[in-house]
Amino acid sequence: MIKDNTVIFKGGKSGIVILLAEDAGFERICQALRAKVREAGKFFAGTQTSITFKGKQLSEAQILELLDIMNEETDISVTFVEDLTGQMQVAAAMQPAPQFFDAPDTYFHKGSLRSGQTIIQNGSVVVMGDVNAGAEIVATGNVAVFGVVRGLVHAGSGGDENAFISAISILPNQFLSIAGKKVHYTKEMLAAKKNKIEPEYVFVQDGFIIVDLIANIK
Amino acid sequence: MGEVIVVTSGKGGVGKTTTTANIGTGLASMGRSVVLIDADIGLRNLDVVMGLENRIVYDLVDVVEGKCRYKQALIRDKRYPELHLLAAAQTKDKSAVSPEQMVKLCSQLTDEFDFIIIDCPAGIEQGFKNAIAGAHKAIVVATPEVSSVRDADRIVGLLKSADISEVWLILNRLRPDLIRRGEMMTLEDVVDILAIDVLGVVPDDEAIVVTTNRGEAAVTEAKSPAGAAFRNIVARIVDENVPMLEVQEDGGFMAKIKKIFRKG
Repeated sequence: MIKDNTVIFKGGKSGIVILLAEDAGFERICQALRAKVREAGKFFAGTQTSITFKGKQLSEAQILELLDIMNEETDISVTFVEDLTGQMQVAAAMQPAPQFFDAPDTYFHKGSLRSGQTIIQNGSVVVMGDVNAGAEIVATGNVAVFGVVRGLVHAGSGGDENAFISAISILPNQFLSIAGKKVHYTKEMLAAKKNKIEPEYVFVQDGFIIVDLIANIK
Repeated sequence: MGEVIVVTSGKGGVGKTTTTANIGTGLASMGRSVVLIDADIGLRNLDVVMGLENRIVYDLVDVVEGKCRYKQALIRDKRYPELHLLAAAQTKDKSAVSPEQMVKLCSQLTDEFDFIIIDCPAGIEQGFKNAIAGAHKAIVVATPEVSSVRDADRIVGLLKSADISEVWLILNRLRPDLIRRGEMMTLEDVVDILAIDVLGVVPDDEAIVVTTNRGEAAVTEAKSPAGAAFRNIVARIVDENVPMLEVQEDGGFMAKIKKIFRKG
């Protein structure tokens, strides 16, 4: 067992703060975290909490990897993750027990997602509000938005071509992607669609990404 | 107990300082006791806009560092006995103050004053975090431009995650002529994206440039359209029941301006 200060747990105001040694390599942090949570696993049993990583700048992929470790080793239910700048808000409502890990979960976001806010979800995402320009959703499953999509939405981010995106209005300033396939909206398309409410869904068929009206779903 | 309101925007140059000066002057002219805090340490402006630069002895950093009592640092505006300014330090940077210190200062000031209005620096870094730390409410200033609205959206998200739930919009520098030609975002376009309550719409007005350079506030200029807009805004801050109705009145007000433009 590694006994060092690579990973330190602290109770914070709104959940658990995990302090990571800035000089430690990511590999070593993973090992240390695994050892720590294995040791303390029962302590977290069944709790629902938010997690904040501090001390070391992490990429989104690295945060997800650390969350995977937490999921594998504990019964903890992580509801919210924040990096040390507090700027990236990763809502990872992943259910903890390993046997459920493969079953995609749906995260419901109440309210709009504003510029700079991010949801990364192993599963599907439902937003009860708008996804504004500058906001981003990355989901391995489907993304449904009860509002306007202006920001970046990636569905089927793990490569699932059955994933879809649907919204009351789709006006992306950049693009949408499903299983890595992208669809861009030209300025003319956006202008033509402005002020029209035409619920649409975006899906992949025969390797092509298709945008259609929800009204046409049979 | 007083109210702490931060005036913020994300983007620079949209009129935070002018808005702070006008709201503060407007509230004080109605007899409310007001402290304006310039939180833009290193880029001190509010004192200049208010024409009080020559009276600065102590500043915000001196107060939080305990070099003086806040009462010593408050500059009382001789034109409005209830108006006070706490100037920013010009030779320090944003790290000279911490959010905790701002919370403490604001809570001291609320015991004595009706309104504490904080002029927030542009950006979302330390200066922004300091400025919002002690605030109960926020006014987001945006101009009808995509870049300004995008930054305002980011700011609203950050304010909400800092548990400041009451966030108002002031749409600044609206140009009725451009809107009529369909070449400027309208209030509706902006509210569509930001989805927050509107405190007021301020038309583009050269009286702002003139009064600002003189160290005065347009809010006291009877003939200035922007001044009239700021008087409405101040009325809404004092009486929270006014907003919804008065926003429509703004429409009427804008319509009047449009008429004038048409005549011209």
